[in-house]
Amino acid sequence: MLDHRIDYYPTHEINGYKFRIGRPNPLGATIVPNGVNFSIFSSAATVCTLVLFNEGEATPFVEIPLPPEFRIGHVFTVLVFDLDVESLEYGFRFDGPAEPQDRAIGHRFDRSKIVSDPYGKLLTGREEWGTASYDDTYPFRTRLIFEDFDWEGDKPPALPLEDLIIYEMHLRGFTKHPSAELHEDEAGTFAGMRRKIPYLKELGVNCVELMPIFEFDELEFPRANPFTGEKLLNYWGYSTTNFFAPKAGFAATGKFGMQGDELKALVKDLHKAGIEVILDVVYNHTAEGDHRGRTLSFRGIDNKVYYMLAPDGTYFNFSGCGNTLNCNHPVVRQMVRASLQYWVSEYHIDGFRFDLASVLGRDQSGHPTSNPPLLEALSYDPILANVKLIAEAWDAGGLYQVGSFPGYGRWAEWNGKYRDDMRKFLKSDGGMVGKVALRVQGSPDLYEYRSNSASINFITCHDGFTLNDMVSYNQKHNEANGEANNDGANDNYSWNGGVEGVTQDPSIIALRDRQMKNAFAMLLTSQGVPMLYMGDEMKRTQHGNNNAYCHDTQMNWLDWSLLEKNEGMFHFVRRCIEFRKAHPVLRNKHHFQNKDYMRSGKPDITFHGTKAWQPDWSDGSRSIAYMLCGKHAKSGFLADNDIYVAMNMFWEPLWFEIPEFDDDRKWHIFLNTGADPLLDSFEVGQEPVLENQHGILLGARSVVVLIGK
Amino acid sequence: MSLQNAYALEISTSEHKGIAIVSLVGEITAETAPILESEVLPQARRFHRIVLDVSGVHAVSSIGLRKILMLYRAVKLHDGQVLLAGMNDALRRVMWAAGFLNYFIIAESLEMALAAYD
Repeated sequence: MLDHRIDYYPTHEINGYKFRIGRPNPLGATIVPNGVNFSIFSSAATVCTLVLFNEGEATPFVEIPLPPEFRIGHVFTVLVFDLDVESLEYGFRFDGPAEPQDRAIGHRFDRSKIVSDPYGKLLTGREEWGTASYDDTYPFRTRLIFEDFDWEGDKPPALPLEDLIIYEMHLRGFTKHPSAELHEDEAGTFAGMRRKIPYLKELGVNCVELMPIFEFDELEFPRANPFTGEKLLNYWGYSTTNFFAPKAGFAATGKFGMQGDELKALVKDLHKAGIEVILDVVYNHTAEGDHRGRTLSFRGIDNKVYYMLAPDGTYFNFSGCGNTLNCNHPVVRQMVRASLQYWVSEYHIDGFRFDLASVLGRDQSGHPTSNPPLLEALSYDPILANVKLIAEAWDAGGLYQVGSFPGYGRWAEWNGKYRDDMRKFLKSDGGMVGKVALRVQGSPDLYEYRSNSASINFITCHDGFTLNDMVSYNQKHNEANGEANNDGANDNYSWNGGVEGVTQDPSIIALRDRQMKNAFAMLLTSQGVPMLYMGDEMKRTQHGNNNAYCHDTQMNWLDWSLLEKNEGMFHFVRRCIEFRKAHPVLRNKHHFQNKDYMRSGKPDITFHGTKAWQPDWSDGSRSIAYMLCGKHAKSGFLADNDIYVAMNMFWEPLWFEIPEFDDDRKWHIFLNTGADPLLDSFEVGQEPVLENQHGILLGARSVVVLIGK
Repeated sequence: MSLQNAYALEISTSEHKGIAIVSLVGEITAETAPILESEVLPQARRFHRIVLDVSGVHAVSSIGLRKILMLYRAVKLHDGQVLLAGMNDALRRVMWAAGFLNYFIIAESLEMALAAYD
């Protein structure tokens, strides 16, 4: 049938390779009957040459300069016949103006470089973590992908945002440590993580947020660890080389080019386990750096379109990483949208956390705008309609939009104020009680016209101290990063309990354990969406390093032997998660009204102090309690138990009088961080009755959670 | 029937009680994969059940993996089954990682595969 179509026939030939003009849509390389259609945008190139390689070979087997008539508007397109799609690697050479020679401000064309396709779906060059495959002429090569994965009917869990319990994690760090006890091929890979799904299920989280898994170049830094001499890597990967390609070095099958399949297999099994997958995505800059950086793709294709440039042609640096993606240019916006749509449709991804998302709200000159076209487009995109969109609502250019990020009713935010306020409260700062009362309610002060689920609550994340380090260090200790301890945040609101770092003092160890449990108890009873950071549940430490982006070492890898050593902490966290899942009154979508709209006898939320019904809001107060009315769970649509949470961050024990029931219900203890660690939390349904129903003594710096039944 | 191409993959096919048995010895790579396709796919159309004896396969490339997957698809089209016999550990791990090991029935050896069908 196809043979009868006139457009099957080539019109041109070079060295035996036959081709004809292609189709401009879709952009990228598309396998079509009898050939491959290539299409790429450049507004200012004078000539575009398609460069084709066989897998792994140093020199191309053919270069095809596209005839002028193969350009439609600003799109070059060609259909090449009879290619071996299994082993093809492709790229482009562009001729065009370049400063300073041509006085062409902003252009950086370089025909000596071969550049990868921004719409490429696989990238070779780092198939094995930490190993470069090619020289600098064409270090990252685009390849074709086969979209033939058998999803076996996979459907995303589609959990309501407010029901999520997010586990932020580093893909490689999760299973790279020898204690993960995986085959060496699987350690630190998608497959390795898949082996550990039973652990995630046992912990009880229902969403994982993966730090960047788009292709990046871990070898981009020239520096070494000043103490050990080890080369520093871009371990975190906030530096994208391609927005469609999964990182091959994160796949046991990367050397087979099957990283796409391996990631899909992981997502499929996570979904089977009821766990959603959110990707941390970095659309604010690329790995090409500033004027000293490398020409890998965008810069050599259309520098002035892909990047925000100052009038003199230098790069704006709102990302703190050298360049800023010009994401509100219509062409770049189209790429970002296409990328997100692709991850949702092809990889069944459930949501995205946007790194330095405030950059996405800046216009092409870098000015923040109130109605940014990209954010609006994403908010109303039909393919993205059901996925979670989460903003890191600040950037490195000084924009801080927590509570004011343009959300279109769709976006949630990493609530940096939750983190800061809860940390200050935890270390017994005065004047925090009023703020804490807002934070545990889902920050209605920040999200008045949105919902609790706009607030992603966290106390720790990849940026900053681990939870164990937050209670063990007053200062950051980043010397190993090679920047004389100048990098990383200084405002950590952390407290070491009396000794900086490791100690053998049993009273300080006990205090730190209690503080960690206090943090978990507060986080997992707060309204909003809790997010935990990988390993905190087993007391992972980075030895005081609060910016561990560059260490591919045991400092960053999760040491699974901690699980046994700190079993008590693990079970405490597991129970808190189970408790949250069992009690919808902790997971309200809508803000409390401070009213008894269900006529249950008490309002949805009430605040208390050492005297019931009398909270102490004064600056000197360091304790607060609140009670949630179970009849108001999920805005009254579900019936739940009443729950009472008391937090005493004062350095002395305090007696808390508790509200009494007017029926035969009794208060039961779910957790008391001030109790003997062996008896400080209980399995859901097995909470013992509180002996004295009139009150409870809270130890110094401790939290109590009671349940009425 | 036995076939060997220039690139080190020997394919022999036989039939046992209505089951196709395909034995592979050598490497499944870009060079040898086409012959795998041309020899084995017709079996997939004729037989409901295929036993692929891969105990003699010592190397498989990405293209080889894709061909094995394609074979599964072709057989599945008419509700058939593919049984892989004698896989080495490396192949088993790669197929598991790529997410398609569970599409196949696995047997330690050809004898065990046939015994399973008897």
